[in-house]
Amino acid sequence: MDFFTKCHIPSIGKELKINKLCFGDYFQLNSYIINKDFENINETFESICEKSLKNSQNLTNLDKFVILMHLNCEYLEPILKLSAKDEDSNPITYEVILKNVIKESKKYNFDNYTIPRYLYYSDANDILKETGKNVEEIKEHIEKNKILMFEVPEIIKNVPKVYFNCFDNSLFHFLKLVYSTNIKNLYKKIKTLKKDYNFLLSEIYEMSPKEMDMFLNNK
Amino acid sequence: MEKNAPENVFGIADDNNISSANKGAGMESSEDQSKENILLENKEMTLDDLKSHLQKNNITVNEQNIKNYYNEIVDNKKYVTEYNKEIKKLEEAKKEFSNKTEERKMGEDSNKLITSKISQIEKQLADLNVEKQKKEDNIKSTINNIFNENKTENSKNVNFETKNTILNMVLSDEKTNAVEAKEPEKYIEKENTPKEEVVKEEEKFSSAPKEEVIKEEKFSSAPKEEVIKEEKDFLSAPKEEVVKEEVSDVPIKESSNTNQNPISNIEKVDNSSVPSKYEEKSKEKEGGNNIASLSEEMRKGFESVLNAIQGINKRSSEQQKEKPQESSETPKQPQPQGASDVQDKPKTPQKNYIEEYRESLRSNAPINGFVGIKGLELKANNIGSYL
Repeated sequence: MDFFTKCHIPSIGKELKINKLCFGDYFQLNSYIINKDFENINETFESICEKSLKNSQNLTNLDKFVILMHLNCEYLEPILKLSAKDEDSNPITYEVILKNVIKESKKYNFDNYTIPRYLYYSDANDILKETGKNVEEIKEHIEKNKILMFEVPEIIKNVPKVYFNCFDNSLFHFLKLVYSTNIKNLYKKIKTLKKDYNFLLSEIYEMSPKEMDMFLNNK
Repeated sequence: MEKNAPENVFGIADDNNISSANKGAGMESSEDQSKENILLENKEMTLDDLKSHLQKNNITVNEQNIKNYYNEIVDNKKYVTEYNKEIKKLEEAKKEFSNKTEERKMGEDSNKLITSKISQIEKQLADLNVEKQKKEDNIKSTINNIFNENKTENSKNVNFETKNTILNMVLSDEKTNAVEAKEPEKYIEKENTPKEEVVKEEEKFSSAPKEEVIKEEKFSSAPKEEVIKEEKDFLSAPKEEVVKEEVSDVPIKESSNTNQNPISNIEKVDNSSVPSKYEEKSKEKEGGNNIASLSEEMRKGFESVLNAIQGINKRSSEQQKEKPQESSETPKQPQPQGASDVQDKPKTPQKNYIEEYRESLRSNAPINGFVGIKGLELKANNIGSYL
C-alpha cells in the first residue's frame, strides 16, 4: 500500500506529495551506520529521496534533509532524545522536537546561491567544483545564514550548538544521528514477522516502519 | 580524517568549544567563568576564610559552632572528592570498554561480556552519583545551619547569593582542611586503599572499601530532614533525577575520531524498543515447555493433596456423626469445583495455601463457610422473589 504525506520543499517553495519510508531502506541504512560506511549511507539517503519524490534530481541537500527529517517524523520518531548532563554533571535526557527543526530550516536564505546537491562529501574540492564558488565566498554565506537547528537550555551541558550548514556535512551527520537505532530490534522484528506470521522478506521490506509497529502492537 | 574534508574547511566552530577531554565539564557562560576565576584564587578554603566571609555579610555565629560546622563540611567534602575520583576512574574504564570494537567482533560471548561490564559500570556510576549527592546535600544542610543560627536582624536580609557563594567555595575547592580533623587515621586508610584495582576490576569495587566508608559516614552525620527541606527551597537544581535509561540500553555513540563535526559530540538515547506484546509472546513460547512440565508436576501434587484431603474428610465424617449429610457434602461440592479449576489451569504451586486449607478442613471452617454461602444464596433468592 502506498502512503503519501505532504512536505514543504525549500528550493521549490511548495508542498509536494512524498511517498512512505520503507522498512528495508531503514534497515539497510542502519547496517551502514553501524559500519560507519559514509558513502553508502549517503547513497541510501539518495535512494530514499528518489523513491519518495519523483524528479528529485534537482533537489539541494537542504531539500533532501527536509524530506528525510519529514519521513523520520512521520514514520519513525518525531522526537530525538539526547543524553546530556546538567550543571552538576548529572545525566539527563533532552528532547528535540524534529518538526521544529524542519520549521527552522525554512528560515535558511539561499536565494541566488547554489547549494550542493549531496548530503555528504568526502572532499571539499567537490563542493567548490559543483557550486563554482571560492572558499571565502562560501564561508561568508555560512556566516550570513547562521541558524541554530535547535535551542538547548543553559542548564544542559554536553549538547553542542548545531547550525544549518549545507557545506560541512553537518546535515548528513545530524540525519545519521536521527536515523540511527538499535539494529538488534530491527532483526527481532524481521524474525517475528517471518517466523510467527509467515511474512515474505519482500513484504517486510516494503512495509513502512510505522505500519509494522502498528501491526506488531495489535497482534 | 582528511585535511580537505568539508568539516575542516567549512565547519562552524561551536561557541561552547566542547573538547572530548572536557566533555564532563561542558559549556559555561561568561558569568560562570568569572565565578570560577574567583574560586580558583581561593583554592584552599580555611576556617578563617569562612569566618571572614560570614563577617563580611554581617553574619554572627558562635566560634565553636563554626568550627564544628567547618569540620562537618570537611568530613563530607572528603567523601565527595573520593567519590569524584572513583567516578572519573569508572568513566575512564567505561570508555576503555566501549572502545574495544575489535574484541566485540571476535564473537558474541566477548561482546556480551563487554556490554555486561559496561552496564555494571554504569550502575556503579549511578550509585556513586547518588551517594555523592547525599554528601553534597549534607554540606548544604550544614551551611544552612550556619545561616539558621544567625538570629540577628540581618538574618532576614541574607541573600541566597551568599549561601550559594559559600557553597561554591566549599564544593569547588579540593583542599579544604579540617581545623581539628576527626579521626584523621580514617582518611589516611581510605586514601591508601588500592585504587588501581578499582579501575581494573569493577566488580570488586562495589563490595570492597566503599561500603565501609558509607556505613561509617551514616553514624557520623545524622540526617537533618527539616534542614534539608528548607535547603531545597533555595537550591532549585533537580539533583536526584538520575536518569537510568542509559543503564539498560547502551546508546549509540559516534566516535569522535572518525569525524570532528559538532554533531559527533551528541549522544542519542535509543528508544526504539521492540513492542512488548510480541516479545512476551515469544518468551511465552520459549518457556512453554517449562510451563507444561510444571503443570504436570502440579497436577501430580494436587492429586496427592486431593487424596490426602479426601482421607481427612473421611475421618472427619466419622467423627461428625451428628451431621452426616453435610460432612459428606463438604469435601465433594466446594472442593471439586476448585480442584477442577486448579487442575485445568494450574498457575503457581502454593504450598502454604494447601496447608492452610488442610488446617481449615480440620477445624471445620469450610463447613461453616459452606453453610454461610448457602444462607446467602437463600437470602439472594428471597430478594429475587421480592423483586
